[in-house]
Amino acid sequence: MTLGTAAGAPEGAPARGRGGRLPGVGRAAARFVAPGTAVVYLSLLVLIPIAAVAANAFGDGWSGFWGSVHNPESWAALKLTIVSALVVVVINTIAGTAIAWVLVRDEFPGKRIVASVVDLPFALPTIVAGLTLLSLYGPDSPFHLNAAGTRFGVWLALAFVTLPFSVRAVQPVLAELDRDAEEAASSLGANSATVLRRIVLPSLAPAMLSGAMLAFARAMGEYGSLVFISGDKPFSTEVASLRIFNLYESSQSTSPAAALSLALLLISLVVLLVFGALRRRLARPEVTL
Amino acid sequence: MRVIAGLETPDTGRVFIDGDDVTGLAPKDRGIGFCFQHYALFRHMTVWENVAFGLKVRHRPKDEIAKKVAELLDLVRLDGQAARYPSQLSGGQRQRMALARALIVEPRVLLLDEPFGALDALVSKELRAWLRRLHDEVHVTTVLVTHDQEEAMEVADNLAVINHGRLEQVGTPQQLYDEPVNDFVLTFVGPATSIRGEYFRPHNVSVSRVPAPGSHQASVIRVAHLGFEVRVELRLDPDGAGEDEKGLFAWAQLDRDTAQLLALNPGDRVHVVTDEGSPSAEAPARLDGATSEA
Repeated sequence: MTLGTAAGAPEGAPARGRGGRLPGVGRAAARFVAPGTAVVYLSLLVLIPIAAVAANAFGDGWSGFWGSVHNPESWAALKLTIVSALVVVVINTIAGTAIAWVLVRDEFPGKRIVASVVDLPFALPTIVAGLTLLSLYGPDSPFHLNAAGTRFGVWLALAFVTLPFSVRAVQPVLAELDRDAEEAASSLGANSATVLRRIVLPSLAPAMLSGAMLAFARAMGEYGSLVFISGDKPFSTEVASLRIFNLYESSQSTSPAAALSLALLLISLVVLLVFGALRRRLARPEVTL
Repeated sequence: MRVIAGLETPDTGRVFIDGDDVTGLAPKDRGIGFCFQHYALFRHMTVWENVAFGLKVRHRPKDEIAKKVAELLDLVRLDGQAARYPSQLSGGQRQRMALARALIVEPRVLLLDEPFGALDALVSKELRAWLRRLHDEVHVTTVLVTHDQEEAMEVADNLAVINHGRLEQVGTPQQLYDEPVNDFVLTFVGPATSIRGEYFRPHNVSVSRVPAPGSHQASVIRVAHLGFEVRVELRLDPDGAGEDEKGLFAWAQLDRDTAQLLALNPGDRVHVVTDEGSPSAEAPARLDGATSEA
């Protein structure tokens, strides 16, 4: 029985509404099951564990939380992590864009090999990355460049693991860029520096920021590659992730570690939101095209 | 086109603009305005900023820029759209904006690369007429590349027909139409039909019910009424010289009155005569992939 015939529509009229071809159950499934699955999966994997950490962070009460985060050593670790992440992100965004440029615009023998080398930090276990860096820039460095136990070593490791994000975010956008616009600009009298600044960079900026966001998030949480090269010196090269591990090791309770984890998480979240807002502003005129 | 603009270097030959050899100059020093086929607009800039770009990179005073941009936006009828982004414009508006952007630097030569290729037929036709009128106000030598013969004939004072990179003929549209130097130009510029291996303009082909000296016997295949013009498709009787089937088909362009008088129907037997003094040429080997430059 269809709603149509019940309302007095002529017999044989195509059945619509609830009696139509798509049964009510099917449509409900389409409406609720897919988003439902996404929410459940996301909850089990991400939200609930994070909520548990947040709850654990306050296991020793508010003062316990504040005490863990604001003790001088943790505070130094947080500051070092944020500053290092920002420094490395700025450097890698510039270097990564330059590498993407070479990979997209230039032709040279061995280009494919260079392209896959860019992805190597993705493929390498981070602890191996740390070992590699140590052998090259450690006490036995063939260049007599000992970065082990210095902040430079921390930056080196972070730069190594975040480079692919910076390159791969820019590369596809650069490849799709309208070359005619650059030629139009130069035919209108712009020199190549002006073309880069006024035409190319504004188009690349949203992608560069996307890469920066990913690289920043990665740098904030990096652990493996830092274990060897940083030397894990409190107040000097101990980053937040190492400090969290040390808190966990040295304390009977997991709450201090959870407290610092939560602080790290919140700082990352705020910075990423700022990046995201900036990116939306930059991309605005182009979204409608 | 790209060689004239300086975006590509020629293997041989030199580029002269107003008698100056510009072959070694960068695009920005040649005094050219280039309109790209797909507009090449600066998508992150407003219409105003796009048009102002050429003056801004030349560091002209602000009030001069504002005045000239307003002038050009008015000229291309985009004065109401100055604050919009290219993505918010229609195809025709984008093309007009690209023109304004190229014209603002007062180029010695304006280069248009298939400017109407990406537009629908109606907009393209309107814009063509507008472009022609624009040249009464802005006196700038314009080189326009197109694959559309009608467009070339309509817009240009002088046409250059280029076939596979070879310059075939240069002349006014009328010269090219009436005095083509070879069969390629004849068949490429304007309609053409072949009768017994020779090419004619279809309006120089007449159809008659009675035989005349030098006429060819043929059958009517189809009569198409296109308003004032009536197109008669014909199949000539084989002359026994072993010509292939395809070579037997021809068409004639009659006016409506003549067609009414003849009252032709498919299957009718007719006699085909070609006018004296009409341009004709031997049928060319091939007609593919040609470019005309206007």
